[in-house]
Amino acid sequence: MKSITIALKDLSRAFRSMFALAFMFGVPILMALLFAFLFGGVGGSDAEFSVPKTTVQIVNLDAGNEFVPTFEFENQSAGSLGEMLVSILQKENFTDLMTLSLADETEARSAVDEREAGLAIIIPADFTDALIGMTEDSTAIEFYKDPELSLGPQITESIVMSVVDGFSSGVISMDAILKGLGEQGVELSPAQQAQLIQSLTQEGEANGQTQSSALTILPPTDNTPSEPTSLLQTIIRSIMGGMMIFYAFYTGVSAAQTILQEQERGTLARLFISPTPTRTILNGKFLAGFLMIVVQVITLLTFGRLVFRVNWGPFPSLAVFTVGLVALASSFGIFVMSFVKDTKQAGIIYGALLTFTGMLGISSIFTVGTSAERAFEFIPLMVPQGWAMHALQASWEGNLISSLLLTGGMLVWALVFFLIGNARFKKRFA
Amino acid sequence: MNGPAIRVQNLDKNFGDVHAVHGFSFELHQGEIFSLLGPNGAGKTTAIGMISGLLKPDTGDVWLMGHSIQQDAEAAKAELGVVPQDIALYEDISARANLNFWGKMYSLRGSELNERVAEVLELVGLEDRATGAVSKFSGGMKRRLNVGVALLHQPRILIMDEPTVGIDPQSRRRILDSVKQLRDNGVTILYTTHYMEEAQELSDRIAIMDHGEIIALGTHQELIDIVGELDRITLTIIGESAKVKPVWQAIEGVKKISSENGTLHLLVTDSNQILPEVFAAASSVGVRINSVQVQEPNLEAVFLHLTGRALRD
Repeated sequence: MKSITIALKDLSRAFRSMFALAFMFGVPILMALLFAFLFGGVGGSDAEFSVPKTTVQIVNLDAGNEFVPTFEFENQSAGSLGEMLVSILQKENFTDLMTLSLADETEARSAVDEREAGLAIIIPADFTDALIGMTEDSTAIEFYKDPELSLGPQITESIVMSVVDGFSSGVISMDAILKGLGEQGVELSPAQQAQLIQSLTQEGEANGQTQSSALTILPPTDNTPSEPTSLLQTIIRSIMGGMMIFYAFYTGVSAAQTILQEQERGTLARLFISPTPTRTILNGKFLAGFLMIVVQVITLLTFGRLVFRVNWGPFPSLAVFTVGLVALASSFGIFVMSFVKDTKQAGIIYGALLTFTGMLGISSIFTVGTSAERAFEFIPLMVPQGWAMHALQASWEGNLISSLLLTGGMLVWALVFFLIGNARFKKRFA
Repeated sequence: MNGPAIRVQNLDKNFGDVHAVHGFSFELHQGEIFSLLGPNGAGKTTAIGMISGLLKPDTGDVWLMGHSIQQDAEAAKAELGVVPQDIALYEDISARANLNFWGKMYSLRGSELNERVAEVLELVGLEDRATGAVSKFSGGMKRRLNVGVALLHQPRILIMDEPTVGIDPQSRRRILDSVKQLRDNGVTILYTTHYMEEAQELSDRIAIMDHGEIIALGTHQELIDIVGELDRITLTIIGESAKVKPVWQAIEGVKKISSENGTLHLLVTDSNQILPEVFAAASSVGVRINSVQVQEPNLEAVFLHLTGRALRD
């Protein structure tokens, strides 16, 4: 009961402090609003948000394969996979994002150099052969782009890679057929393999089932399970989620710092003189941090949902993430402050520590689409904020299992932090 | 309960090489005001820390109304109210919110808490400022509230650690009157101060502390008797004290001479009779007297007599 009294007193004092309120709610919301205005609007409507259209010059050098004269897809046919890629990119779905025109290689490069185009996509001559496994050599589509442009060419690049991933899936399907034949002792020559592809494709066409053809072109996939999410909402979700985690840890440390503040102002000694056990006082302090972060996280999640229509994911995984974040951030505060001597030291130490661990933890949101993306899937897991960020991502992807596993990891961190911090404070105040 | 309200037995506390408190023992009877008098750094606050359970002694123990502060801390602390030397309040919330919070820490709840808060606000004269943030209070008002917090749960023992430091005369008088009133209501009070006049006015018994030890303990009169009926003459001089000390020592009736920071203290039998001889002797060795102060026997004189130093230094 006394723990709750201490916690409520701290909570009431925190909500009287403009400084604390600014960091708990003001800064994360301002950051989200800033990004929303930068990217075109508030309210989650696609109509209000537009990525600048990218002028793309596409060069199709693909020579196709002599044994597979046509590739069928969505009631169309193409002479090569390069041609198929061009046809897909010319579809209406992408007209808002890019202006596409065919060019030869010299023209395309020159257009980018002279900034008439933002990106040139150069499909190599052996593109089809490589994808259907008719050559041992690997090949690559070249993206020749204006280095000063980032967002538009990056989006186009992602779309192209997504389509090519679909082609690769088709090749994997064909490989599975060939492997099955091989296990029965039937070995096919390259020419026979190509004939098989063609006959399978024609059979699929005859049956009106393009999906059963050997080369199935898959549309770019959307991982979001339920609600559709606009690009603006995705950006806001990442920024606001990251800021929420960053400042939840700030709140945890700031709440624990009241132990040092009370020590310096004499009220902690007065608490120790009262008939209140040390563990009750420390539990009250921990509970105060816990409650502050609960209020902060719920407020920010609700704000994101109502103002930006952010889809944070299904309720069970979001609830699991919230519990983990609150426990971890509040215990991290107790842990950090147990190593700090006074409030002067605290300002410097926790400022630097929170900035470093916080930025590292949420770095994955800033490395999307860059060469460092893969590395930053794992590096953030070195700090607790990284676990929280991954758990939030698992939540909005609707992956309850991942969410549970990551929250389990967060709770282990939280337990270790709490036990160490609590033991150190008990020793200090024994 | 018939035993002592406070029993302190052989407390020792060292901070590294510093012996803060050594061999500290005494007993307080119920309803008694007992003052710990000593200069800053004498060890009063450390002793209070151990008696109130804030500091763990290296050796020894303290019993409050029969409860050991180490073995039965919660029961012992429930008997105790402490007014700390520094103001220990939450300044960003109101006086009433402070009292409500601290009352709950002493297990007061509901209507009992509300009644006690109202009574204490009246007692410390802050009824009109109950809802204002403490940060807006004057130093004296904060001090009074600081005292009020310690009285909320009606403790049978009250420890007051220099409660009148740095406040206006009006607030000081109010606090001293409250202390007397509490004693009349049967509260046992352990009072620390370096103001001799406060100890003299309030205390049934006084312990004088220096360098972590009790160097004298008794009633006011018993302590005065240590120096007898000697007057104290305090002089500042222009010239060397080494020249004048031997000639003053030779004057009949001068019992003791000590010097400190350019000031000379003489303990004498009759200041009126001796003072002209003091001036004459100083003049004979070429020393000029710059100022003179004469005091009747008091606790200051006792401390000077016992330590060779002035209490206020």
